[in-house]
Amino acid sequence: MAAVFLRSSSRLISSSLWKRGSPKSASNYAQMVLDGESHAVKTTTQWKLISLLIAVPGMLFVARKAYRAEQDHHHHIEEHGRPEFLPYPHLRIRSKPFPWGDGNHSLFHNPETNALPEGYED
Amino acid sequence: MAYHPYHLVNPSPWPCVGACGALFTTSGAVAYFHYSMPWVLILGLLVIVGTMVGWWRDVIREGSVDGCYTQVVRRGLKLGMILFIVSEVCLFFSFFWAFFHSSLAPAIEIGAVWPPKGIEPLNPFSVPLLNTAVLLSSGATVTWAHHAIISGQREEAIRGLSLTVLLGIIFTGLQAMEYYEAPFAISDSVYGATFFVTTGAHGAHVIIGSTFLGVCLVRLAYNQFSRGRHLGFEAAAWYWHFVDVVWLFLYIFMYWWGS
Amino acid sequence: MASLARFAVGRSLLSSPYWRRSISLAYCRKSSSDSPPGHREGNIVTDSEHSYGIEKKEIDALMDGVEDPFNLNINRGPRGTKERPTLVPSLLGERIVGCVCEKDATHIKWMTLPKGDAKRCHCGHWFKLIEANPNKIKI
Repeated sequence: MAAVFLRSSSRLISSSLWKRGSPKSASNYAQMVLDGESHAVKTTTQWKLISLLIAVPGMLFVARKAYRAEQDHHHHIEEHGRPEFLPYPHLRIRSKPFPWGDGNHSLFHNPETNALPEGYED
Repeated sequence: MAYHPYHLVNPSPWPCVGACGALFTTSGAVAYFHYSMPWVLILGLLVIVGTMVGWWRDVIREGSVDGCYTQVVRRGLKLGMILFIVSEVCLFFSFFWAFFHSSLAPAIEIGAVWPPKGIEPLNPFSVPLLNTAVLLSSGATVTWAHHAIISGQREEAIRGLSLTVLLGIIFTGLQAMEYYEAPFAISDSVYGATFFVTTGAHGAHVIIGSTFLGVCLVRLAYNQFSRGRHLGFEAAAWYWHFVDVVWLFLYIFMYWWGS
Repeated sequence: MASLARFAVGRSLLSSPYWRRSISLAYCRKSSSDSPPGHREGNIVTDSEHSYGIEKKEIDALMDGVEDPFNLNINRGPRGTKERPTLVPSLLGERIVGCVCEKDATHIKWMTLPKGDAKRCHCGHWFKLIEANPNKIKI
């Protein structure tokens, strides 16, 4: 054991150790970088195909579904009207005014769907 | 020339300027919420934005032009980004804690039901499902861009990254539409509060992540990345995946189970 | 009996000259004609082509097969005696040396090792400064 250390240590101290490695031989590091790059060429194509052949059609499919669900929702509102305004104490809380506008409308206020504490605006 | 790999940073105004910006932002937010006085808040946000632009400009120069980012330095930068994302996880954990605290045992004041009495939640299989698909797809396109950078294919990388940024913008647009269409507001019981605070924080993170990826796209176009040295892009991709995962939890628990 | 020694480069006071260049939009755009042998397909540059300064030195050393260009690893060797001290390479007149006195030591004992006679750590290990470039990269 000690001999092994001795040998490695005498190498450590000899001045040849501080020299650069031969530039001709590809190091493990360089080989690792090269392997990584050639592997990434394959995985780029793979992820491109996943993006274009799975993700894009998937999004279009879900978008169609979402569009129909929204249409149904709007038809439902048109037929049956929006829910009746009930002044529940836990809804439309105004313990202090909103810092914007007149202080009574939320930031994303939609007069058709959001009621004020006094009821719908229209 | 330095004989060591460490990066000894130069004196910089940004920590001090950024601290002032943080002070103005927080005290300005108090002034805004209590007295509707927005000016200190606007000043603070402007200072913060200026700090971000200036500081990250310096960081980009140190990395791309000064060659300060050796392996040891890069390890530190990576660790910093990981710790930042962990802190963000903690932030969202606290929002989810509030949500579960209120929803698992609904108080009598909200009707002892979840969603609370009088709340009509959003349909999770409509636009929220589309948002899920959009974010998951953007995870695939950002990986496409990353592998293209590693393998040295610049055009492919620009394509993948542009698509990712586009999907981020689409998500933000859809989410803004949902906010407008929502039949409840932030002041509608603890449901509205937890919903808008958590999805709002997530939406802000999507905007930040899209900006981060957009900056990477510009840097890619200006050839500031090499095959192995693109830490800015890697950090943006990690951040984007984090935002993606937060959305999955948000979708499953707040939109789906919560309705 | 193996002792471990960690060498820290004690010249942090030597600050690097600051040669900030302004960013020009095409500052790192390289034409394909000056790509080095081994340049691979694709139009994103390699790390060596892209980098500057100390980072470039490090990348080139790594590509040349130097595994520890800045001599950051812990050096393991036999116990240095008075007659045969552990030699510590340094470019300057002194260097900070950390001695892990025993195999199971839970802390590192740091000391300044000046040029001249061999110096003894409290544990009995001897160190001596020699004039050499400890970095395996040409600066």
